[in-house]
Amino acid sequence: MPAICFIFLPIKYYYVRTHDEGVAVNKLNKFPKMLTRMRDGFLLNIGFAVLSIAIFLVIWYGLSIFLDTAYLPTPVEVWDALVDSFNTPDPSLGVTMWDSIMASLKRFVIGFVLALAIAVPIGLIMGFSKFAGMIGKPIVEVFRPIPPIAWVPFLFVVTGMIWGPILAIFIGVLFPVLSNVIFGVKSVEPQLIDAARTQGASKSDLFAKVVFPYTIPYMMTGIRIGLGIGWMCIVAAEMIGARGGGVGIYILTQANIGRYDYMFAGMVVIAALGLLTVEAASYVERRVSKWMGA
Amino acid sequence: MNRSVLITIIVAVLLIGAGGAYVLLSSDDDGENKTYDVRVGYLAGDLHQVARVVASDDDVNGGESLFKENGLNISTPFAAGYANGGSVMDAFAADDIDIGFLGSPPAILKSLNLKIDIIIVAMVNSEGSSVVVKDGIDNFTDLKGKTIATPGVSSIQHLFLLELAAANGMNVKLDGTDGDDDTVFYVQVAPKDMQAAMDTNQVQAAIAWEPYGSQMILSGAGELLLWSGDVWPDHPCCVIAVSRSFAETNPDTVEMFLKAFIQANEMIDGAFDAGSGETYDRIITLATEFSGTNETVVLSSMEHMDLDYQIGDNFETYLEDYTQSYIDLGLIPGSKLADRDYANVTEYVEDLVQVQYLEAVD
Repeated sequence: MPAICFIFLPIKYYYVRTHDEGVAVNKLNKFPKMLTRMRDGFLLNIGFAVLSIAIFLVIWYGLSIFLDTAYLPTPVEVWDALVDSFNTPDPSLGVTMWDSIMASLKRFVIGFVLALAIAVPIGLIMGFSKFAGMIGKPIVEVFRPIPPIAWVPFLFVVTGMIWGPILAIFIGVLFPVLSNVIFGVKSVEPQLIDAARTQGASKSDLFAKVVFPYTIPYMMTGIRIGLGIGWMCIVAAEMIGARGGGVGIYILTQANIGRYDYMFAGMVVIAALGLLTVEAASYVERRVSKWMGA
Repeated sequence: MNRSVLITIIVAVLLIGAGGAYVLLSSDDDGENKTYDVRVGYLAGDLHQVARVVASDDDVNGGESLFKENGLNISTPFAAGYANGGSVMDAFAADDIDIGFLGSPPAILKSLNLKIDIIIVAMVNSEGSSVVVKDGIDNFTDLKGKTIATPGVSSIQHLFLLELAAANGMNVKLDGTDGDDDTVFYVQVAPKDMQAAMDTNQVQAAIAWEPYGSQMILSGAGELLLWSGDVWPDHPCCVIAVSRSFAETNPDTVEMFLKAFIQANEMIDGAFDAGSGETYDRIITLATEFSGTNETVVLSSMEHMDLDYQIGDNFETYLEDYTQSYIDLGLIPGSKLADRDYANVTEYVEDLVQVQYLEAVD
C-alpha cells in the first residue's frame, strides 16, 4: 500500500491540479520538480521495491489459490509458519528459527573471514608480482569454474560436519574476491605508479600507498558477489550434513516431512539474510567508493 | 496446379500413409500382446527393494523379465533412484510415477501433510534396519551424550530411534544443540555416507537400512547393537504404494504388477533355499550392482531382512502406531486427519491400505 501511495499520489496531485482552472501556475509546476526529486531519491526506490514485492505476493497468492496444492502454500500461511518458527521450537529439530539462523550465521562468518584472509593477500601478491601471477593463475583458473557445491560431498567426508559447510562457504567467497583483487591490482593506472616512483616511493610504499588503496573498490565488488554465492553454498552444504542445525537443514527437514509452509518460511529467511548481507556490502562498497573519491 | 506443388502433395500423402501403416502394424493393441505402461519410482540402493530389481531383469527369467512376461512395460522416470521416501512421494504428487517403493512412514507423513492420494497395496519387506555403534557402546543407554546418524526425520529409522530413546528414558536432540544427561544427539546423514561418518568418528552410532547396516559392520566401521526386529518384531518397512487414481482406473495393471512382484519374491526364496545355481548367481549380481556393495554384504543383508509382500495381521496396527507417533510428535498436525475427512487414525489406515489387489492375485 505505501508503494502505491508513493507512485499514485503525485500523479493524482498533478491530475487534480491541472484540471482545476483556478490553480496557480507555480503550483502546477510543483509536480515535475517533486517527481524529479523523488525519482532521484530513496523514497522512490523504496516505493518501487515495495510495489514489486506487492505484485509478487499477489501473483503468489493467486497461483496458490488457483493450483490449490499443499506444495504451494499462500503467503499468509507462510507468514504464519514464519512467525511460529521463531516462537516455537520445531517439533522435528527441537530448535527455533533463531537457533537455525545463528548456526548458519556462525558458519557463514567463519567461512567468509577465512576466505577474505586468504584471498586478499594472495590476490594482491598475484596481481603485483608477475612471477606469483604466472604460478598462481593456472591453479586459480582450474579451480575457479568448479561450483562450490560440487565440493560439498568431498568436504563432508574429508573435513567432517563442522568444517565441511564452512569450507563450502570459504570456496564460494574465495574465488570472486581473489579474482577481483587480482583484477584490481592489474588495473592500477601506470601513470600513478610512475608518479609515485618519480617521487621516490619504495616498492613497499608503492604497494601500501598506491596499489592496495586502488584495489579496495574491486575487493568490495568481489565481496558483494561472494556474499551472494556464500548463501547459496551454505544451504547446499547444510543439506548434506552439518552439526548444530542451520537454515539449510531446516528447509530440507520441512521438505522431507511435507510441511511446505515451514519450508517456504526457511527460504524466506535465507532470502532475507542474503539480501541483508549483500545490501550491507553494497552500502560499504558505496561508502568506500565515495571515500576513495570515485 | 504447379507440378512441383503436386509432387510435394503426393510425397506428403505417401509419407503420412506410410507413417500411419507403420503405427497400425507396430501397434501391440492386438489383444494377446497388449502391454500396459507403468511408471515406477524406488529408492536408490535400498536392498529392501531387491525383488523389484529381480522382476525387472530379463536374464534372471530366461530372456524376458517378470514384468514383461506379465504384460507390463515398466519405465523409471528417475532411473538412479530417489534419495528417500519423501522424494518418492513428491514424484507421486508431480504425477511422475504410478507405483512407488518406499518406507511406510514417509508414505504416511506426506500423504497426510500434503494430501497426496496414494494407497498401499503390498508390503515389500519387514524389519531390516540396524543400530550400528562404535566400539565400547554395549547398550542403548551408553549412547547418552553421543551422536547417532539417521537418514532423516521422515525415515522409519528415525522413528525407531525416537521409540528406543523413549523406552530407555532418554530424549533425542539435534546434534550441536543443548541437551541434558539423558540426551542422545542425532544428525541427518545419507545412509551411503554413514560409514565415512563412523570411520572419521563424526558420529558414534548410525541407524540405517540394508545394505548400509551390514556394510558398516562388515567393514569394521562399527558393531551391531540391535536389529529393528529385536524391538519391533515383524514391523513393516518398505511398501508398494500406488496412486489412488491410477489404481482405480487400472486395477488390472496393479494386479499384474503385484503378480510379477510375487513371482520375483518366490524366485528369490527358491534361489536362496537352493543356495547356488544360475538364478542365485544372477540375483546376487543384481543385488550387488543395485546396492553398490559386494556379495558378502548382500548375503548378510538378506539374512537380516524379511522379503515379504503379504499384508499380515499386525501390518495395519504398526501403521496406526507410526501415524499416531507422528501426530504425538507434532510432525503431522492433528487437524490433517479431519482435513482428509478421517475421524481417527484407524479410519485413515483402513483407507490407506487396500488389500483387494493383493487378494486378487495371491
